[in-house]
Amino acid sequence: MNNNKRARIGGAGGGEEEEEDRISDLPDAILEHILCFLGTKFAVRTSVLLKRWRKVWTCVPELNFTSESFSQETSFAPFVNEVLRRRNGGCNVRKVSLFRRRKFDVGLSDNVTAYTLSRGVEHLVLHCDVLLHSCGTNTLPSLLNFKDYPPYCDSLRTLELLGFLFYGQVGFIYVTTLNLRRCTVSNHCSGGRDGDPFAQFPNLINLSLEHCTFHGLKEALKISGGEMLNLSISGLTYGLSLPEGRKVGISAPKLQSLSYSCSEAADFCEINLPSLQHSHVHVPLRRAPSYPKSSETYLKFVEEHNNRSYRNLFFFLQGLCNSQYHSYRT
Amino acid sequence: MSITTENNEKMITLMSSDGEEFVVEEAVAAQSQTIKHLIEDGCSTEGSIPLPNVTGRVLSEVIQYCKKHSSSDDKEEKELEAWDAEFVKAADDHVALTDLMMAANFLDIKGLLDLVAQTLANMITGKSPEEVRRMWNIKNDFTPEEAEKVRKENQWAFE
Repeated sequence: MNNNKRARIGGAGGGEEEEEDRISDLPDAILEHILCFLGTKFAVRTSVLLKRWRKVWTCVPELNFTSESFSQETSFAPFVNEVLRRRNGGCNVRKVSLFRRRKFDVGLSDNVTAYTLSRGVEHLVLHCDVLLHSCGTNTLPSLLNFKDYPPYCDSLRTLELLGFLFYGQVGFIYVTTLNLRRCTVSNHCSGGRDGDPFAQFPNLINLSLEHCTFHGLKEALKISGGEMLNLSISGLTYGLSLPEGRKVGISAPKLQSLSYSCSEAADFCEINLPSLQHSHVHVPLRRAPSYPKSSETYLKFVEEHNNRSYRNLFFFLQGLCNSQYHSYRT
Repeated sequence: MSITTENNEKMITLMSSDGEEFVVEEAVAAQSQTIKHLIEDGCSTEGSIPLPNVTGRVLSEVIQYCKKHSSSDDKEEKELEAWDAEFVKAADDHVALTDLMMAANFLDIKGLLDLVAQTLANMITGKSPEEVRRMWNIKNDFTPEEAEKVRKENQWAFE
């Protein structure tokens, strides 16, 4: 590659070409594609560069709102609302992402969600970086928190949430990918099926749970999906993310790939994965500190903990025995 | 084309707009949806596939990308990312990247299109319009009056 670069400058076209303004000639479709990878703030700003570009941003199929690109937090919400108001109504929006470094204000996330659901958006991403800025857990926009399926949200396919309080009653029939990171998953309101917070997503194909905390489970956390093909769980730890004494059940007859990482071996009550092909399990075991001062009680605790982990792990791996490709480490 | 390698890999010849010929494995060329469809339609049987929109210089870069991406599998994702980063870094400036973008669009290679779009987007993130104009050598085609009007119209996007 390095050699080619030099060859290019000396090659056909000559050095003069380097001064050429090639960007201005890009077709709108390609320009829109570039703007998809840009924060919406900078996408809008390209409108002052060239006459032809004035309205290009109003048709960009992806919107990325990041509060980080605003020096004053107060100007973020007005900006977002202005963009939604000025967009070209005739152009499709495929994806809407909202990233915020503090608690979401209800008005803003409601506006964005209303826009998303009414415009046939397929991918919705709502991120609030809770750990870094300890903004607490956000309540989901009221439109995502409904009791009955609203008739107009059949477009949504992927939903990605970071730092939200996720109730079992949230559900979209057509959502195929659900990605929850550092969310509090509460089962208090799940519609009828006890212990399964994802019962309202009947067509889920991909489910990812990263460092989520589970609340309101009576006996067990149940993860079931008749259509599910890929499941990824990480950061599941008793006492931190899962209340002590709760069991975990996974039932997905079509599941092909399971990743279970950085988690404690849970006490499984059910593992029903007859179609499993790939499994990746990473269960770190607690080690006693090597320095001599470690107390008897602590060592005993570690030993008991590890014994329980081994028992759970044994049952877990038995449940995965029909997987063809298996990677495992502690 | 009926040339095959020792591994029985079918080879095809691609011809750039400036007449340069590249002999590549079919699997490599088929990373391009456009070429894949041409092959499927039987356009590769008589000699080489002409690519009138892509120069030899750009095509050789595109082929490097396709070779790398057809020989790697999922497990090497990290290594592939690092390779991609080096690849766009070596393309060096926005003119080369723009050419690459147009070629990726014409040849319909989604991975390359996204990679270059991301690189160009990264270049202007955080920059003022004046800085972008200087960097990309964009001539201002607004009259001073128009410029003032557009500036006012978009004031809300400039905090």
